[in-house]
Order: sequence, then C-alpha cells, then structure tokens
Amino acid sequence: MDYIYIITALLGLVILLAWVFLSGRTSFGTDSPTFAIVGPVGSGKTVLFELLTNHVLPVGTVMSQVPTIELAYTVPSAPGTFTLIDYPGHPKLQQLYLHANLRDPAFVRKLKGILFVVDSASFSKEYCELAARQMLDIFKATEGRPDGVDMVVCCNRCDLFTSKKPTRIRTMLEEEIETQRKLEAKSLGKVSDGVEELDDLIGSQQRFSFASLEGNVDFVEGNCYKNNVGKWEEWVQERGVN
Amino acid sequence: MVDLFEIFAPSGKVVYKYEQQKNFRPSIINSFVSDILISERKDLSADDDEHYDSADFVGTYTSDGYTVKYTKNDEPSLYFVVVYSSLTTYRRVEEFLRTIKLLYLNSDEEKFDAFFKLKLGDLEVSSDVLADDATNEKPVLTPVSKIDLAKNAKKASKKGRKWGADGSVIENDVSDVDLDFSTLDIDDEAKTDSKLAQLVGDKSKFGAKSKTGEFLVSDLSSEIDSILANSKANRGEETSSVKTQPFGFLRKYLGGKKITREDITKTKSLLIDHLVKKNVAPTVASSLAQEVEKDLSGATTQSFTSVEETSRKSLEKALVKLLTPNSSIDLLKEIQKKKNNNELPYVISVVGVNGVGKSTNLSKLAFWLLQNNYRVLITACDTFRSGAVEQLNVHVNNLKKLTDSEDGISHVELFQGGYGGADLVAKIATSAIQHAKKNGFDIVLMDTAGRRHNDAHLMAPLQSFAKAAKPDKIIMVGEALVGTDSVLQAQNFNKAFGAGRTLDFFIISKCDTVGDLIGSMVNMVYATGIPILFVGTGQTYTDLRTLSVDWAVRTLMS
Repeated sequence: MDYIYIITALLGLVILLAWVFLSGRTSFGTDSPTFAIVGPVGSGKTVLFELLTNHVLPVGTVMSQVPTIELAYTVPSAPGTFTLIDYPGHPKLQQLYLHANLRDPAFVRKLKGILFVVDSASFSKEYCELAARQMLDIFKATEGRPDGVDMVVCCNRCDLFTSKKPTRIRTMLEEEIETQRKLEAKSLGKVSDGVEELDDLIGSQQRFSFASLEGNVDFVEGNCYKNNVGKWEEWVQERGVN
Repeated sequence: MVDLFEIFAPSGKVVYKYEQQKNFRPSIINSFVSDILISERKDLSADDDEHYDSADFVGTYTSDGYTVKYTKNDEPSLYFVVVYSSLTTYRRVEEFLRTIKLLYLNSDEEKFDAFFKLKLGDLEVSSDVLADDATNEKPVLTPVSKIDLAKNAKKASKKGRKWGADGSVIENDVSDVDLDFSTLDIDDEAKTDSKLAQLVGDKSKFGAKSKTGEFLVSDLSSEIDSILANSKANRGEETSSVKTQPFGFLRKYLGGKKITREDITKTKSLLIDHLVKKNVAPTVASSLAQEVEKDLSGATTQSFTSVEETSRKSLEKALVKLLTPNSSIDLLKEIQKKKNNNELPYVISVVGVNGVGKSTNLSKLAFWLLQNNYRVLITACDTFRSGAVEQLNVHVNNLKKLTDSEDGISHVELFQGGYGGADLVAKIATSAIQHAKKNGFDIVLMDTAGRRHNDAHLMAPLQSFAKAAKPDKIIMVGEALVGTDSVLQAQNFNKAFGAGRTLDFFIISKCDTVGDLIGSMVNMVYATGIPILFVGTGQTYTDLRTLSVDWAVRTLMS
C-alpha cells in the first residue's frame, strides 16, 4: 500500500512541474512568424502598432520605454497568428531590445518582415542620417540570412504638403547609407575578444543600393495619424499569406 | 495654467490626455521620458530620491521653460505627468497628482473625466504667478466656485427688458412684473405669452441647471472622498495579508515566483559585491543595484530561473542602457561635413590626469586620421612639464616615417611654442589654428598638460583654453587602472570648461592591463552621462578600438 502514496506524490509533482512550466511559458516568445516595427523616435511606430492590433487610433503617444509585443496578431486571409513587436526608437533601447534580438539567429530566421517607419514630413538631412544608420545596423543582421528579410519603409505623414515623397526618400537613404558604409569601413575596429572581421555589407566594393539587397525593400506611403494605413496592411498581408 | 496632463504606459500609449491647446509641443514630454525614464539621469536637486520606490513619490523635471511633475504606478504600470510653464507655481501639485492617480485607478473612464476636470479646477485656483508685480497688484485669487458664478448669472438673468413706444428702455425684474401688453394685438398676446412661458421655462431650466450643477459637484467630491478613503483602507489590508500558496517554496527553484523585498535585498548585496570586484566604485555599484531593485520589485521570475539569475539579467540591461550613447558619434563624418563646408581645421583637444596616456592616445588618433588621408597638425599645449614637447616630437617623427612616404596627401607636423605659463597655452592654441588655416591642415590635435582634477588652481586654465581654442571635440583620457577616483576625475573635468561646454567623450586607456576589471568605464559614464568612444588596448599606434557595448557588458558580467 505504501507505494500508492509514493505514486500519488510523484504524480502530483509531475502535474505541479508541468503547471509551473506552462504558466511561465506565456512570457516566452513563441516560434510564430514575426513582424517588427522599427524606426527613429517620433515616427509613429506605437500609433501604427495600435492601429494594426486594436484598429483604434490612440489618444496620443509618447516615447516608448519598452517594446510592445502582440503574440496573437492576425492578418486577414492569412493562416495562423503572427507576432508583432513594436520596438522603441531611443538609441539606448534599440541596443537593448532590437539589437539583442537581431543578434539571435533564431529570431532573424522567424522574421517575416520589418516595418521601418519614417516621418516624411520632417525628413531632413539629419533625420536621414539617423534613419540610414539604423537601417544599416538592421541590414547587417538580416542580410546574413540567405534570402534576407523583406522591409517596407512606411513613409508616414506622406500626404502633408511639406513632406518628401517615397522616391525621394529612397534616393536620399541610398546615398546616405553608401556614405556611412564607406565611413564605417574606414573607422576603427570594435574591441572584442576574438578576431574581428569586416561585415560583407560594409566591406563590399559595390555601390550600395536597395535593389542589390537579398530582401526586398519597398517604399510605401500612408499616414497612421489619420488612420490611413491600408497600403502598409496590404504589404503585411502579402507577406503573411506567403 | 496646466498645459498638458497625460497618463501613459511604458509602451508609449497615452490612455488619458488633457491639453490646454491642441498639439502642445511633444518635445517636452519626449525629453522628459528620454532623460528621466530611459537614461535615468535624475534631477540631482531632488532630495526625495530615497522615496522613489514609495507610491507617493512625485518627481520634478524642467526643460525649455516648462516644469514637468510626475508620479508612477506599478500595477498596472502607468505614468501620471503634468506639464506647466515654469513661471507658474502650484502649491498643491504633488497632492493633485497623488489624488488623480488614486482616482484613475479606482473609477471608470467617464467618471474619471469629470473627477479630473473638478480637481484641475481646484488646482488652477491655487496657482501663484511668479511675476511679482502682478500678484501684488491683483487681489488674491479667491476660489470662485462654479456655484457662485451660477448664482450671479441667475441674478442677471432675472432682469427683464421692456421698450416703451418712445423707444425708452425700462428694466425691471421679470418675476414680479405686471406686463403691459395693451399696445399689442390680442393674437400676438398669446404668442408673447408662449414666448414669455418659454423665457420662464428657460429661466427655470437654468435655475435647475445651477441646482443640478451644485448637486453634481457635491456628489462628485463626496464620491472622490469615498474613493480615496476606500483605497487607503485597501492599501492597509494588502500589506497586512500575505498570500501563501501551496507548494510556494518550489517557486524559488522553478520560477514564476513573485519577487519580494527580502529576495531583492539578498541579491542586491551579491550584485554590489560582483560590481565592486570588477573595479566599479561602491557608490556607483549601489546605485546600479538600486536600479535593479526598482526594476524587479513586483516582478515574477521566469520558468526555471532563480531570483539571482533574474537580477543578473536586470543588471545586464541596466549596464547596456548606461553604456550605449544617446546618439552615435562619428568623427570622420563630422570632419567630412566641416570639410565640405570649408570650415576646417577640425580641432580636437585631449585632457586628463597626469600619466593616463594623453600623448600616446593622441598619437594613435593621429595615426588613424593619417591613414584616412587627412593632414594633421599636432600641437604641443603642454608648456609645463619638461620634455613634453620633445616627447611629442618623437611621436610626430615616427608618424611621419610611417605615413608620409606612402602618398602625397596625408601629412603630419608638430606645432610648438616652447615652455611657459598658463597664458602661453591659449596663445599657442590660437596661433596653431592660424597656422593650420594658412597651410591647409584638416585637423588640429591639441595635447594639454596633465593636471590633478581636484586642484582648482590647475583646473582653472582649462576654461580659458577652451575659450581660445574652441575645440570641436574635447576628449578626456581616463585610465582603466584607476578605481573609485575615476568618478570624481570625470565629474571635475566635465565641469572645468565653464557653462555650456562639457566633455564630448572618453578614451579609456590601458584596457589591456586590467583584464576583465573594466569597472572604471562604468564609473566615468555613470558620473557624467558622457559616452566612451575609444578604448586603448595596447602599446602600438594601431591599438585603438571603438567601444563595443556588448563586449563591455559581457566582460563586466563574467
């Protein structure tokens, strides 16, 4: 009769273990295909995230301090659910969250697409430099994947009179990334434990162009402050269905 | 006048917003979030720092002529922020924020809107305008409640107006008037009657309105009081009842455990010990541990992770946040930009304590710039220590041999003015820039004398030097070898250049001599908020590297 108690105790322990494990499980990222929203501070990433997930324009947004993750993001006519992550744009936090994730090959593998939000109405030379820097850092991680990762550059507030048009943004970014790439090749190496090697993207002799990248880069206009995100949603839908 | 009130979550989503004017400058709130909540560079004047954890903490931040007062809530994580012009002071703004917080957490949306408006009205009445004349002349603003206003309005509305045949106006009270309609047709009389009825109807409605208004106000404030009383009682209960779960002890090993205060204090001392072993100053280590404490309080551990592991993760996060610069610095890009605008030479000066390697790292920088085909003028601004100029001359001769022969573009030269007092330094600096302009040098590198950071007599000349040379970049060289003193070194050098000029970045030298004890990097960045750009990793001209935050954090956590 004694071993009945033991079996009961063991069974109880197993159930307990399973329960603890499963209850903690939700906080882990799942393996579902992921879309990431990135871009400089104040470009409208959080608003876009809210529109894509809740379909409601928020009262307002301030600078994000943590990434927001939607684990059950559904795309119309696409099977299953997706993960949608809104990364903060602050440089310190990008290093902390976005680049920590991008260094993980498993994360890059499940990336379905990147929504890079820029504010076309304030797309000055300085803004372009900032955006180009961020893009280059992302490409360094995503171009390591055989087929690259598709990116849509969401040209936000494109309907404004003072805004730059997607084609202009494309050429400006292409030029800026080329200059920054060349400068980086000239700059001092990073301190590290092992042998450092120059990134293929940086060391390449070819001139940088979006067309020569492994992943497709599209420039699409819209305005998330006016709930005009149809074209970006279409882009996400295309990637989700495939 | 309150310009902006917002309640927002860490995700950046605003859940409640009140604006005096539409599109109030978002830059104020954003710089508040960036400086206080992300970089955690707290306003040092705030002495209530210790109470940061407590639920009643209210912090202050000023930017661009606006004062930001904020308080936070942990569960759910929300920030309550009020922004007003710094010219105004509110006597009870802290109390206002605390009350609003409790009200928001204990009422639904529509109710809260009414509560907020009411409380805001109370707050604005309490404002003092700092412009002293205005307050002296004007009678003190007495709280004029809505009811009083309504009463006045009611009195005014009682007046009826009648026009005589000659066009004269007779005013009298509507209520006790005998209206004379003799001049009107009988058909019209009925109409006017109905009109009058309408008027009276309006009046009674208005009266009722003021009555309900009064009722509404008293109802709201009593409701507010009851909510506040309830929440206070609840808080007392929560602390008294400790929840215990069956098999709760297993959580400690299996994860999913709610982290308590005791857990944190235990791991906190472990973290501090670890950091101090890595050469981090004790004061810096304990404030970093405090940040971890803040991050962890109320959190739960993940599956199969202990509290220690979780707190290490949190410390790692804090270090990454600390060491990553707010904006990327690219020297070559800035030099190129100046070149395109024909504003060369680009002036870089190097400062630091004696013997940290100012001249050596300056030469390393020069070598790198020469490799990139720039014409560099090295200036000996150390007019104090004997042999300093000769030492630089040796470096310049080496660099000449190494680079000049390769091609015709890059070129290096030494500019010197001998030895002398502090006045000579500024003179050498200005004439070096003149020389560079005349002879087409792209970059001027200025070596300064080493000085002890806590000697005001030695530090004072730096201000006049910065004024004369107007360097584009001031770099402080700090040793990885130095321990606790690095905090004060960085702070004092950062202050030495007068108002409006600070250091631009650090070079940390001698990193190859300390192994993984690179704690002084953390000290210097923590003390000033200024980033590290380069680290010196050896004896040769090529042993200069840019800092990799990843590497630094990994080394510190190992």
